[in-house]
Amino acid sequence: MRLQSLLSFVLGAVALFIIIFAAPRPLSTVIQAGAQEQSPTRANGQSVRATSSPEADKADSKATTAPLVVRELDAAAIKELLKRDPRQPRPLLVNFWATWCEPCREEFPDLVRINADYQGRGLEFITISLDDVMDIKTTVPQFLEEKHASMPAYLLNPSDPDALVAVIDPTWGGALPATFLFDARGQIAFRQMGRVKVALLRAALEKVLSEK
Amino acid sequence: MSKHYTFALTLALSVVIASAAVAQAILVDRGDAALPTIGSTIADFKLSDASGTEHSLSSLKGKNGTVLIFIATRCPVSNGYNERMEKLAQDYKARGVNVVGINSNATESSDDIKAHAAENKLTFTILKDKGNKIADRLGAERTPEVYLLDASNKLVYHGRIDNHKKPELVTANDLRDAIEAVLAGKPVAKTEAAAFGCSIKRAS
Repeated sequence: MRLQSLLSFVLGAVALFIIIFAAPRPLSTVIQAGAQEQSPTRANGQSVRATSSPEADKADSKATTAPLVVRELDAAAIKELLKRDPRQPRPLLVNFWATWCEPCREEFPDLVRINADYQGRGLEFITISLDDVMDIKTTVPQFLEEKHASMPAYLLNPSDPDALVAVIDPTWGGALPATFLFDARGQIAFRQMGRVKVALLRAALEKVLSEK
Repeated sequence: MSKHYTFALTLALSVVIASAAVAQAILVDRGDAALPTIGSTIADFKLSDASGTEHSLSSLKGKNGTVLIFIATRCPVSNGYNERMEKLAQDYKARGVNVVGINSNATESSDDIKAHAAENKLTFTILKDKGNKIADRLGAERTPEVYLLDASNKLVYHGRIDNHKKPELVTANDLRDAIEAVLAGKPVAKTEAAAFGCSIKRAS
C-alpha cells in the first residue's frame, strides 16, 4: 500500500516535470494568455469580419486568379484572425507592411517565395497593410499584384494603434515591417522586427511545421 | 493513501505555480534587462549633430524636461510629423522643455540630415547616432519614437507623438499631455503608447 502510493507520487512528479520543463509551449500558452488581451469567444463561427463581399471572405490562400481583394480589418477582426482552429491547427505567418515602407517593399519578393514554398505544407500566410484605408482598392492591391502576392491580404484601419499592437505582441512598438509566426496553437514562435532574415524565418517555419 | 495524494497534488501545484512565475519573468526580461523603463534615469551621452559639433544630453536638456525624438529623413511617417515636431519645439522652448532629434538610420548621412532639416525648416538640434548606439541603449525601434525625460532626466513617457500620422485625424495628443503633466508637476497618466512607424535601419 505504501509502496503503491509512493510509486504514484513519483510517477506524478515525473509527469509534471516533463509537462513543465520538456514541453514549454503549453506553459507559455498559459503565460501569454495572461499577457495578452482576453480574446472574445468565437460567437458565430465566422472567421473574419470584413467590409468586402462575402465571397471574398471565403477566399483561400490557394485560390485565386481573381482580382485581388484587400479586406479591411479592425481590432475585433484581427483577434479572430489570430485564433487557430483546434480542429485543423496550422501555423500562421503574419507580415505587417505598408506601401510607404521601403524595407517592406524590398522584402516582399522573399515573402512571396516563402508563401509558395510553404503553403502546400500547411502554412497559413496573411499580409496586413497599414496603409490608409483610402488606398485599399488602389495602391495596396496594385503593389500586391505587381509582386504576384496571392496570400490573403488585409488592411488594418486602426482607431487605436496602441491597443492593436498589444493584441499582436506586447513587446512590439509598431515598427514596420514586422513579421510574426504563430504556431498551430496560436503562440508566437518567431518574430522579426524590420526586414525579414530569410534563413532565420525558414528555420522557424521548418520548426513549427514539424511540430504540427 | 489519500494523504499522500493530497501531498502530491499540493506539491505538484506549487511546482506549476513556481515554474510559471519563473518562466514569466524570463519571458518579460527577454534579454532587454538593460533597456530603460518608465522611471529610469537616462544616463548622459554624447553625440554630434549633422555639422559635426558634439553635444551631450546634459548640454541639450531643458530646465523642465527634454523630448528625445528618433527621426528619419526618408520615412513618410516621420516626415508626416515634421511640422508637428517643429511646432512642439517652438511651443515648449520658452517653457523649459527642449526637443532634440536623433537620427539613427545607418542609411541616412549627416548631409542628408542637414538638407532635410533645412528643407523642412526644422530648427531643433538633430544628432547623428552613428552605429545606432543610443537607439540600442534606449531600445528605440522606429521613427518617429519619443522619449520624454523630466528635469532630472528620468524617463516619464515613451512612444508616439500622437495617435495619427495625419494631423487632421489626431484624437490623442499623448506626448503633449505628458509634457503638460510634467510641467504641472503631476504624474503622467499614460506613460507608453505604441504607433506604427518605420523601423530604424541599424548598422549591420
